[in-house]
Amino acid sequence: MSEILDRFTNELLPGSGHWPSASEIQVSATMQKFAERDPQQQVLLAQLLDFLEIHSETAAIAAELEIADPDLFAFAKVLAFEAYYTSPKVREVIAERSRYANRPPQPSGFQVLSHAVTPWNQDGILWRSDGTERSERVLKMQQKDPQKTWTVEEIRQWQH
Amino acid sequence: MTVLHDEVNVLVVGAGAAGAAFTWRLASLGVEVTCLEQGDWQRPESSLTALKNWESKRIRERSPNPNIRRNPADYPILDDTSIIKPAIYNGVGGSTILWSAHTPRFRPSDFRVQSLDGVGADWPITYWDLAEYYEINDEMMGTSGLHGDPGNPPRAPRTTPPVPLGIAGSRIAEALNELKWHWWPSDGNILTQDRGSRRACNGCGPCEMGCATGARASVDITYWPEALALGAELRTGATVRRVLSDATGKAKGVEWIDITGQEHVTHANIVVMAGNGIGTPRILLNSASKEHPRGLGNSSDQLGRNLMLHPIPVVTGVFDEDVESWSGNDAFALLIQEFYENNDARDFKRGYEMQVTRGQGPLITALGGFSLDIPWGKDHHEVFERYFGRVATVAVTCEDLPHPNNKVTIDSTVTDRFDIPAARMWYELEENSKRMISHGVKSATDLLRKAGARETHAKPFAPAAGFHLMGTARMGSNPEDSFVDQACRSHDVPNLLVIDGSVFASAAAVNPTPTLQAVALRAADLLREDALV
Repeated sequence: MSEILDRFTNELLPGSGHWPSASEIQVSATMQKFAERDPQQQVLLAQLLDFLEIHSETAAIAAELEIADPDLFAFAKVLAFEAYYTSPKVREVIAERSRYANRPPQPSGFQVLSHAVTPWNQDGILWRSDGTERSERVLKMQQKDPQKTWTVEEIRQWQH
Repeated sequence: MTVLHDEVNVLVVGAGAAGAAFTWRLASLGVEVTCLEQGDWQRPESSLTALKNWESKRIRERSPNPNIRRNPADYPILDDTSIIKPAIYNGVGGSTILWSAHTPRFRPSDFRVQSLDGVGADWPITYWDLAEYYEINDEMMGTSGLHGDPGNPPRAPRTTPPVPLGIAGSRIAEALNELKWHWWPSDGNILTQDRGSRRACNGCGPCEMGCATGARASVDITYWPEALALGAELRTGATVRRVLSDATGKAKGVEWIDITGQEHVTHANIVVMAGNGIGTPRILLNSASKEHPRGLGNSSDQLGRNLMLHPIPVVTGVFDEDVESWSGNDAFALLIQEFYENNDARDFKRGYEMQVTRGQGPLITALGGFSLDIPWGKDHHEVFERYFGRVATVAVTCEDLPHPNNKVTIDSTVTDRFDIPAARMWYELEENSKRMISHGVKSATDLLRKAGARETHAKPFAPAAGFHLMGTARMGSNPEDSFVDQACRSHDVPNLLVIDGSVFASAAAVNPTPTLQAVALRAADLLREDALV
């Protein structure tokens, strides 16, 4: 059973250079473990295995499934990718080959590199009046002093 | 089984963004207010983003789609009749539990789309009626940003400075300056400095999984503690079956079930619906009676209709260098409103905004992220390496116009765990949206190319992005074509209010949460001012 699943997952995620193949990191076993979380996933996994057994003589079995049953293929792909990309071994490869830190987002978070850019449009008022007297009044005030710091109390007055 | 009865003054259904704001405001005015919430308080968020398998959690337990997530508090939403799928959360905090906290406001013209541009429907209120409430809400939620945006009416100084642009965001900002397109650092309910018990954002990325530091606001940590301290009552695990009405047609309370299956009837002077643009019409349609055969308060047949969702095309740019796109709050950094207002020279009415989002972690990138197509098979790893950490996405939020056939109905062929009929979404893209999407995709592509992206990938709309749920019990002056009046009160049932996104007469082209919270705060004040509570 796991041999045919290994074959299928290796077609999805073959080994390449630094990257392990799916079977090298036991993706099929992880998929079966993940599917135990949810009865619906267990049913779909059983359907997948049935399909793979029936089509075991097919050379390109993943492509066959993608055409024959796109929804089942989508389920299988997400589950296989989930098993592959949450593997510590694969996370190590990603960290080695990018600037990504091989750790969960918390508790440390990530430094967000940036540089300051000032918006070019500091002064021209770009919003459109709704045709009310209040709109015209505020537009004029903002045009007169675009950089003014407004207080909540001043803004409250616009209601009237 | 014996039904348990009790009586309260004001009864709010739903403890999300609107329900929390409304409850807090009324409680602060000294009014006795009780809220029913079908979900529960959330467990400590740090347990998810600190886990090694956090990305698994993100696509499963933290899926925004209740049909995938299937938490006990979730109810089925049949969506095979909608090209955009629902994205909501049920629990204390509602969908703010998994939102990205991007908080632009409506512009004044958004409230007058029929008068100004001849499409959709006007609101019976204006931006100026809400301006004060936007400010109150910004203060309560804690808002990062930069005041002085020339694209919007003035607002008070923000709570903290804006979130950082990031490497790709900085490049895009420079490109915007060259193009001379409007842009401004986004307002967001994400603190960039410590405030009380909430810590500053540490740029971890997946805001939608919940925030370990409390930097990203959700109303379970903002409004609710304050509301409870003021004496408001919040009952969790309370699934409302229907709103009850009397022989005169007035609302008299709600029928609900607790998590043990015990049935309750809570009588109330005022019933306030805050169950979101799907949950609210679902309950009210399920509340049909002899006096209200089409659903409570639905003589206009507007209940459930005019569902507006914001079609959101996405364009992802791929850069040569590693821009560390997995770092920083993932959904916004800057806002572009160059194409926001109506322009009759274009082949569509109204407009759109663009926001720069970032990338994703490894698993979600491998699955395609926002709009990538990473093949499986022999080329998979090469393409993954070319994209991972090197992308930025421009999301285009298109104004959606109301259409009566885009709607929420009930479907009794499927029920929730308490045999309450499911909601069904019906939604198709209108021609105006399709033309707007084409324009938006081209603008976003041009921008990313100008910023140095060597390739771009577009999707005409994000099918999972059904998180802006508006219009299904809309506000208006005419009882024949709207469900509630300017004070959020039902035209038919004077002691029934709707205060969530359902009441939006127009969708604008920005995230709706601050606007629906401002509407809810105002509705609370009007209820008190009119001495109805």
